[in-house]
Amino acid sequence: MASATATYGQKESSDQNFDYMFKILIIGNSSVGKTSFLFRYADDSFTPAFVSTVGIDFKVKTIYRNDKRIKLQIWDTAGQERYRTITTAYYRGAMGFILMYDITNEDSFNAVQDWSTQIKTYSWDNAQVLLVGNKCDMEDERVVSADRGRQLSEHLGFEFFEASAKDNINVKQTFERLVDIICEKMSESLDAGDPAVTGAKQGPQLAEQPAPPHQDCAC
Amino acid sequence: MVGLRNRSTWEPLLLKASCIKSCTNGCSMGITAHLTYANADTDSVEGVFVYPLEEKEVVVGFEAMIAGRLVGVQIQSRGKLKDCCLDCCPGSVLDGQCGSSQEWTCCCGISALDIQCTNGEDTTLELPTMENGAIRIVYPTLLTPVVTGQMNASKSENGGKATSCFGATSGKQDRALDSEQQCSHGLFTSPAINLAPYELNFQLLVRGACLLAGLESPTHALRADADPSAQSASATYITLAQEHPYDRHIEIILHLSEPHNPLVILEKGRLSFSQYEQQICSRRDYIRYTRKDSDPERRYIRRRYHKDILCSPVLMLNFCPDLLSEHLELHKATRELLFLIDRSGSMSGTNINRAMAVALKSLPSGTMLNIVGFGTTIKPLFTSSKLCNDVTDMRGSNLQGALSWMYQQPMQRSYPRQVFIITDGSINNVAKVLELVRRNTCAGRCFGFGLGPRTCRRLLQGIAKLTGGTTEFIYDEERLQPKLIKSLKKAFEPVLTDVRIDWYLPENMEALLSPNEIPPLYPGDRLIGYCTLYDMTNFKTKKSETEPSWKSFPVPETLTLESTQLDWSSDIRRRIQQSSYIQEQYVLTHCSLSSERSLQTQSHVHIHASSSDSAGGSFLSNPHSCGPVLETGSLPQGLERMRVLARSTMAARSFSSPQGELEMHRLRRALERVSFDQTLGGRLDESDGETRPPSRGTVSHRSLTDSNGLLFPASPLDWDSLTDPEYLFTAAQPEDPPPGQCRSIIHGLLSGKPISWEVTVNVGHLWPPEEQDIPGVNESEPGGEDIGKPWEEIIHHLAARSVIRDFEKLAEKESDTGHGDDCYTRYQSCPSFFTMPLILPSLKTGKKKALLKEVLL
Repeated sequence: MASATATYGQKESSDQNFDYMFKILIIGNSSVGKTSFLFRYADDSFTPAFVSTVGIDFKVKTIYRNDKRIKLQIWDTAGQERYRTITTAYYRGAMGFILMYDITNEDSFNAVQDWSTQIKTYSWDNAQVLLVGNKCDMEDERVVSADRGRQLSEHLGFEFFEASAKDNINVKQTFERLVDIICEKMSESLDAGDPAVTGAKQGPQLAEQPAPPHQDCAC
Repeated sequence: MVGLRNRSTWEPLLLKASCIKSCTNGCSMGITAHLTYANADTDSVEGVFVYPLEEKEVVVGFEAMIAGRLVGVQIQSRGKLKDCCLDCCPGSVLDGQCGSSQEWTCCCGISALDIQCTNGEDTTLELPTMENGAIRIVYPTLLTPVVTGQMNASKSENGGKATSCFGATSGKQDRALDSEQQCSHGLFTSPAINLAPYELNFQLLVRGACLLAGLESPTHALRADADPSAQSASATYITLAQEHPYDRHIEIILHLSEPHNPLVILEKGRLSFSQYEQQICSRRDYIRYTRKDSDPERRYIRRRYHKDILCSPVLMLNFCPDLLSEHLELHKATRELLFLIDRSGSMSGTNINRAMAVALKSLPSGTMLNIVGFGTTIKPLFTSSKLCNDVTDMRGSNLQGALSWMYQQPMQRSYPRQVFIITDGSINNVAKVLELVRRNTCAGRCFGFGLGPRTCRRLLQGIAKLTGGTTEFIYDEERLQPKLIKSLKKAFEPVLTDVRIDWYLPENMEALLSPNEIPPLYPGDRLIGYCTLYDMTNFKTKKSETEPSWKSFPVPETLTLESTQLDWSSDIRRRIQQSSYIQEQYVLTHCSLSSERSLQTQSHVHIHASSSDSAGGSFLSNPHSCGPVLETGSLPQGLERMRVLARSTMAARSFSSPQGELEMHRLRRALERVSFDQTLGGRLDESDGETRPPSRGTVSHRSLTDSNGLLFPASPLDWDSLTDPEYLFTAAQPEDPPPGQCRSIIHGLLSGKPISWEVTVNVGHLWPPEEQDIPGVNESEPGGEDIGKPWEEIIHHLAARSVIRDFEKLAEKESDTGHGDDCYTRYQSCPSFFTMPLILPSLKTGKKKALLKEVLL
């Protein structure tokens, strides 16, 4: 992995105008709304039609955090079971994960534990995870209560949001919170002199700034 | 035996570092490896670098740096190895085995003491796919040699036979190795080993026409990333996520998101079209040519097609059809089975006879069968394969003769040939046999059966690998039957036959297509086709009156469309009877490719069918010519009928027929009625300008060709339908494609049913807006992708390889059949082209990548 970083290093100077770049993955069962979530955040668009994701792609979004330009490279993965083993290479090097389930789908919630194991197995220890219950606009069809989601997230040690890509609820907040957590962790690690934080491609220091307080969604 | 070796002792030199950079683009891949070796000895050594070449691999560069100096390097094909290393290897070992060009060796002197030597080496290769359409990458073992604790221990494991062959050391000899030692191929193929761990730096850049669905590796944990500046995952960097364990080589499997769709990848050439035009126009021989010759300029360009591949954009078509999802109807399967049975004295007949009897009984009825015993003479059971209906003395094994005999036998359409080679011995001309098979990979899939321990593994495995078959070895007391049945099952797996690729290009584009033979596609096989593009817009066709509506069509030199009304029949027939006929068409006209190589030796009807595949255009412009070929018996009626048919099919094109298949006979009837009416009204010629014999001098551009902007208008489909009605309307031609688009359609037969796939690629950006096209602006800046810069010619190299191979085959066939006298004179303008082995002559300086260029110029 050192070699990969080295290769990128040469490119930094030219067309890069960001201070940090975070690699973020959205994972979760098939049809929980990963792609919609990403499209809502990156393009502010939503299509109700369901197209199962096969090819792994990402979208780029640059945000400002603590006077720094942070470029998010958000990878959308395929949720289907058969792609699970062949997408693990993408976990490596990711700074953050959005683990998503569908509040109207019990199976997708039950699979969260497995996905969490998947992250622990294939990514590094510093990777930050956010648990997101998507489709909170479909209150009528809800089968997973917000409390269960919160309990599970506490059990796993993740932060928790309920969100809706369709109604644009908590989408932006989710990503921003994840970035904040990553930044916090990074400055901790840098203080501790932990060399493992190589995900930031450049810049040795991040100004220590308490992240703006964020509240969990309670919709 | 691979890697850098001490030339006098053949000991491996110590690998200190291996830096592997590679890039895949579809089914093509380029590898640049920097290998740093150190001489641990106190004396200076002379090194020999040995690199085993895979099939479809090209070495495009090699340089050696010794003690900071670039050293002169000579690349030699293995055939010459013994000349240079005469002192170190006993001649007998390499004699007769070295004919293969599949390894290349490079001698470089290392005179310095204790000084590191870096070898940089570039190769490109075509990648194999798996049954699920995934692409499998296995890196050459010498890049990541296995580290063994002790040199001596490793010798007995891996290198024992190799070193002993050279007589340098007498390693322990296993009895099991005896048979292999007989073919000394192990010499060059034994896995690479290294004494101590080395530094490994690995990176794979994955690009392609579609996104990855994922990737995996049976050997290493991987990490996938994108470039920080990238906006999408069209390029992915893959690195190793864990320390290299030194006990394995690297293997990676890429899963595409559209594994079974045809994909076309465009790779820009070194020059833009306008730059190429300038280059051509400034060539001295071009000026001379145009001055003294009244021939069209285009003809000059066409002669340069194969030489200017690197200058021009190349399209690569990748296609791995999904055949396993197709329901297998065994009883309907049509195959041609050929058993080549070694009849030398050592073969014990009984075992084979029983196994054969069982095997033959189990064959489905649609099987064509022949059994050939080969000893000193070739003894076929039937003179040609017969539909499914036993057999049994000679000395010596003439496998080469048996194979040559087989390759001369015509193949039946949609009866893909499966060859079972049953032998117990080894032969002394392995390399020659392999080369023969290599030249005929399209003419049959071979399954090898080695009986007993003396069988030559390299031979059987080599043949099977080349043709996509399998090899089984049967040891004493083992029954042949189960393994024979197993292979038979594989022989009957689903297959796509009669594959043809049609390219539809924007107007005024011409193309050089390769390869000119397409083998049947079995599950997991992929089809790779190359299409080199040339823009002819600005090259005038001076003799425009001879080819009015075919301006954009490359008319073969041999078929200038003069007024041949009177003697056309005999003339055309004479040409067709020449075995070189079809290939000339392929090479010179290039409008589509088909797998029907064998048809040339079959009947005339089929000859015409396949030649029209490639040269439909020229035939269409003189439709009379097909009369005698198709219906030799009744000339006048036949001729008229063919004309009617031809028009009907032409007319059919303007019925924009719906997608999918229509009922054949109904359509045919409708069409005939239409054309009949037209004939009655005598308005035929007005109705479709393109079928008019050009000798009448009409210049009609009101043709489908022009309106569609297609280069190869109706040609292949229409003419196929004359002899092969299934093709009619199977792939309905879409309406005018948007300008700047290039379309490729793949046709084939799957269990007797026609099937086709289509893919479109945008080539519009090959013509940059005027203002950007300033001379001096280098084409080699693909927008923001400068990281990929070293990799921008992978497909070009492979396309060039493919073209060279085509020409080699062509040259060989012509010399084989004895028809080639006049053709040879034609090609003598570029003799180097045929005589040159792929992996080429001496490369005097360490100039990188100069190799192919030399071949092509």
